[in-house]
Amino acid sequence: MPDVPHNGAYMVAAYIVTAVILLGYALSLYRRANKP
Amino acid sequence: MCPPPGRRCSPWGWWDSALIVKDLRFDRFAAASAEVGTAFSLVMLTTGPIWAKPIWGTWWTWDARLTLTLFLFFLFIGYLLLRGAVVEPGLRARYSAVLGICGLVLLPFIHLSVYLFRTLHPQPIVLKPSSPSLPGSMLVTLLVSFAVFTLLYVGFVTQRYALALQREAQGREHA
Repeated sequence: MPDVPHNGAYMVAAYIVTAVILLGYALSLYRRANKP
Repeated sequence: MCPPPGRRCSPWGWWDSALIVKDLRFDRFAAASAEVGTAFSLVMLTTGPIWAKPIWGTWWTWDARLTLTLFLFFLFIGYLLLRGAVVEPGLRARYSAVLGICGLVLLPFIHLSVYLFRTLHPQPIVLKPSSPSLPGSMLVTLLVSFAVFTLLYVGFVTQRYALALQREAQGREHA
């Protein structure tokens, strides 16, 4: 099994932050488009 | 240079006629891009420090590129606030275009900041006159990411543009 890079946890955190921001924006677009 | 009779004479002179082509499609596109740009800037300003902590040993430093990028983010926020504050569409498009041009002027400074100031950021390793000095695997990863984020940008802007059209149609119905 390859060694985990020393900044592995930071990488995962960055992926999560990116996903939260972009999915949040996509959700806001969806909600605004479907607002009655 | 003043517009024809019946339209207001603007202090912007020639720039006014170039600035506003009286086509709200450009305004919608700019507004959509600004909103997506704000989201992308937020990603950059949050993931950058997460990367910097283990590599540079600090979350944030007030170096030229970081500070200018933060300024660009605030400019995006200001742009969106301005659009929310002006109700009349023509006036909103004009004011927004002026602020948009100010933001555009900032971009070369961000790119060239590593030449102009001493910063923690390295000199360009891809966008430079000689060939990229990046390992092949990293360059491929960078280019794939660039393509994916460009597609994401196009998708978001298309959706946001459609939303603006939908709102305008609803506005006309309620008028």
